[in-house]
Amino acid sequence: MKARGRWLGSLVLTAFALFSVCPIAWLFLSSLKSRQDLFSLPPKFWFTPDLTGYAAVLGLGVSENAAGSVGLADALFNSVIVASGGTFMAVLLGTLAGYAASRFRFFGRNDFMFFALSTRMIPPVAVLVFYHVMFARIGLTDTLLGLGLVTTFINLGLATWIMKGFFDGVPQEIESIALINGYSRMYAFVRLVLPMVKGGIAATAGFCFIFSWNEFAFSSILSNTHSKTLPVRVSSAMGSSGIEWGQIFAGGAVLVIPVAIFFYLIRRHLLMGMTFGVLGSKGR
Amino acid sequence: MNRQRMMRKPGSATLIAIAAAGLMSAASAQQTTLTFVWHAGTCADKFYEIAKDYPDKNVSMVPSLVPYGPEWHNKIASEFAIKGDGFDIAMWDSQDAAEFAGGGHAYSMNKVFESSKVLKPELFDAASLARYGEYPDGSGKFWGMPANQDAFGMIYRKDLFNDPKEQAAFKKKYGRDLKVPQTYQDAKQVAEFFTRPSEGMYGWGQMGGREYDFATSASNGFLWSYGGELYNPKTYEVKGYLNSPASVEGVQAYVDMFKFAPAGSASWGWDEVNAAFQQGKLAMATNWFYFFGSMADPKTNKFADQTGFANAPGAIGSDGKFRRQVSVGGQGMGINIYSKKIPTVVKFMEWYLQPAQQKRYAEVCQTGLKSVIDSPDWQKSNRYNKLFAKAITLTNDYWHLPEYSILLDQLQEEISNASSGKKTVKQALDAAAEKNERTLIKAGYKIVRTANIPAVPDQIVTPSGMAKVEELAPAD
Repeated sequence: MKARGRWLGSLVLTAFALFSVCPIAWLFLSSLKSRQDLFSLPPKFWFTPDLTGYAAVLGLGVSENAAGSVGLADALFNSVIVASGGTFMAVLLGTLAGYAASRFRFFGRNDFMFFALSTRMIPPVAVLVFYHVMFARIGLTDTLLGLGLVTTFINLGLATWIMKGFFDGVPQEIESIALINGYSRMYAFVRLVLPMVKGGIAATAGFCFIFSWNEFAFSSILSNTHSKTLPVRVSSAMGSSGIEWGQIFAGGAVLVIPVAIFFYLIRRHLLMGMTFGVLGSKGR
Repeated sequence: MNRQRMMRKPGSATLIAIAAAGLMSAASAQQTTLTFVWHAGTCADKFYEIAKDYPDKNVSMVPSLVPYGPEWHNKIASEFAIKGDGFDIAMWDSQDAAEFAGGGHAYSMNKVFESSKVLKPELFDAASLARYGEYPDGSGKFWGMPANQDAFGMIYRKDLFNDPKEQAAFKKKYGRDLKVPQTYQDAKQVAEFFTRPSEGMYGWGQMGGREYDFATSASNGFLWSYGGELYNPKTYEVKGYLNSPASVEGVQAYVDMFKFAPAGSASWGWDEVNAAFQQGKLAMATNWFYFFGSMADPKTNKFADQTGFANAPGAIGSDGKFRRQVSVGGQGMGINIYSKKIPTVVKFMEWYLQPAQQKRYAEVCQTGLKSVIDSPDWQKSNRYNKLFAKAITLTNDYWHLPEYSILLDQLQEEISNASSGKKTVKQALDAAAEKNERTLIKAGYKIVRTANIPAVPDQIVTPSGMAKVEELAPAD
């Protein structure tokens, strides 16, 4: 009976894993197909690989002189800077804000948390024009700093919410003991509490990085030439036959890889953080 | 003495450093970067490639490319909204000229024509210049020049049309010869003949997507060819024109063609039409001339050798007259009025719009320069250029009004409602006419009602009806 249950569980998990991995696998497969192979019916699984998509995305070969290949490497660099910087700032500020919301009782605390979460509810299109006007007035359009600030603003509410949940799971007695023994709040926070929410920070950083890395709406309007990020750059792939799907798939593959590497590096912390976060939130 | 020498040395070094810095800053100050905004594609690539050969090496061109579609319009519009100089040259969709010019964001081309010894209106066909840069219509005020002209054409499988068995079967069924249709009435029969779902073959392919201008780019050709009109540009009436019997008949013909197209094609854009044809699913399809180069290329179209090119059909309207009108496409090239480098931009354009550069451009795209478009050399350089030179004379366009994008979205929605079967064509066009007029009234236009609008409003707006069908030979 137990073996049967385990077998069934394995089957379900395998099916779910395949279901989750299939789109990624299709993305990588399609990135290696020519336009003819991409549209063939039935779909081809055996074909002669075509690397023109990757060549275009990386600005190599024939496509070097094409307007469409200009700035691709820069776009990749911009994406790394904007996503990393935005993630760092969102996690830093979100951690501090989440701790404050978890530990201190202040007027409007619940409203503050709802406000923080509501920033995730607004569709970017609704505030795009205001951001554009505002950034133009202060000279932040087409700058990495501007986009970094935008990604920070986008993720700060979410980071605050997630981190508050993790801090709620850390017993307050730990800090009380430190405070009683004469240590400062900051000492207790940095030396005692933070190590206990390492996993939560990793999980928060992971989510923030994904959202920052994939951010399109603000980047497409607020950047022109200097700060264009890779999602915007890749989306512009069009040639004489229409949309250059090979380039788009190759660009998608290039976009997925850094995120996959990042999540691989933090996987242990992620697992710990996710499960601890679940237990922690149940305690409050 | 040594101390004095030592004190002199830093002084000398400092002077040299200052001089070097001065030279460097002078050199960098002379470097000018011009930015152009366009949707990504072959024409932007070619423009950029040509711009690299600009003789003034202190001026370099930088592309700011956006995806084709609403993001392209939004990118330009949002930069204009903040009066920004994020780009110096804007290649806008032909229909956007009125919005951007009307908003005061484009530098006057009349000023350029007056001051430049090189750039003159006569370089371009009058109709082309009007299409891509004049606002208001007929005012003689220009805000852009044709950067890339485009129009709707037709592609077909000449192996199917030239097959003796197919010809015999068609003749047996319809009592006439199988040939590339000159009217939508003919096209319907030919499409029906070639629609064989069990063989994976369909007779017709056309755009129908709700997004951007996909559906209306295709349906407008039917509407105009049947003698319909989108509105009356003199009186701003829409009711009686957009929902006239001729317009309804035209759009109905467009909707009926989906019966001979693959399932789901009512949501197609140009990319899906291209893909379906390249897979051998379609006997005929209408699309932009922009894509004909790839249709003739075996690397992208495995049926390239069997692909024939033709002008899009016309129609015989209820008044018995033949009309052939197709949607105009392409882009105009305007100067951002907020750019701080306008004189440099003008100098660049004076060089770029020379025949030498435009001949290079015309190797892959359709220039607006009259001398190149009209030249026999260019028209003979491939199988479809001559057809394009004819097609550009058959073009009609959307409303040349700043409210164009709102009017377009309303018409797109209703055409989409008609092709999906949510509404009848009459209901859809009635609704579109109502919405369009409300938009115009809200924008401050005074609608002057005309008594006795004819069932075929083309008769009073832009009369183009002919007594008999004009036969335009395809290019095999």
